[in-house]
Amino acid sequence: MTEDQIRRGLLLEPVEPSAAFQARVMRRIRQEAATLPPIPFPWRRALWIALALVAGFAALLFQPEAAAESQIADKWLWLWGAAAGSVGVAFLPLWLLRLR
Amino acid sequence: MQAVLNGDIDAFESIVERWKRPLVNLAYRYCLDPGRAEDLAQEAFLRAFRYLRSWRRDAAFSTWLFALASNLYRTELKRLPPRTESLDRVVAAGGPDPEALLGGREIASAVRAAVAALPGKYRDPIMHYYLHEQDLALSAAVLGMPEGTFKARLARGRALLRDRLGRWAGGRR
Repeated sequence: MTEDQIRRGLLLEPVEPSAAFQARVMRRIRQEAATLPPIPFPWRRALWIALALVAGFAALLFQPEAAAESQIADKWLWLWGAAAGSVGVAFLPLWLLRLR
Repeated sequence: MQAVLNGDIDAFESIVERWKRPLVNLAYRYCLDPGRAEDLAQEAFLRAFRYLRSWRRDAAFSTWLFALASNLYRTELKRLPPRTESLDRVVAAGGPDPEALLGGREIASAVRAAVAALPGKYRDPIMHYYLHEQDLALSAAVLGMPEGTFKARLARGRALLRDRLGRWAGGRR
């Protein structure tokens, strides 16, 4: 078998798409377009909330003495702040991954 | 293209019209089954529509589209391999006489079967090189490989092909 025969065999386009192919593809495309895209997670808003929580947690952490003496530094409130801060911190790596 | 990105779905029809033949034929070269080739090409168009926004205009649309389609076809064929008949089996089963086929349509079928049976790293460069009318730069870009690597694999693939088809033709004499 010669190089030219191989080349001709490879250059041939053997298949003609069926008459209904294009209509079938467009039907699927329209179906796809009609389905609503999922609501994206509000990363920008979550970042600000996370930053605020981290800042609040840090403030509580660095002023435990003063906080303990004041009314605001109620034990439960402090715990709530710590927990919320942890949640906020957990969002940060997720957001950073999203940026990549 | 911009019209599709602006939400004009009907504008996508001109893309389908322009590229349906090459995409179906590329799929056919992978799976050697016309029905399945259409299914694969349909899925490729659907993905192109879905990810059109990810097309960076530094590459030609055709390069992006063929790269997307090739990746899809390869993945699908790994999942569900095509039914291919080896040339040796054709010879053993007393297939058509290659001398009588030279120049005929059957020779092209034999060549395509031999290409489809090549290892993927040699099969893909050969398929794309001839599908893109022997445009080396475009074919290498579609497969995302440097031109030097592409050339080397193309040469090795052709050598394997010549060897296999030569043995097949020789076995019939």
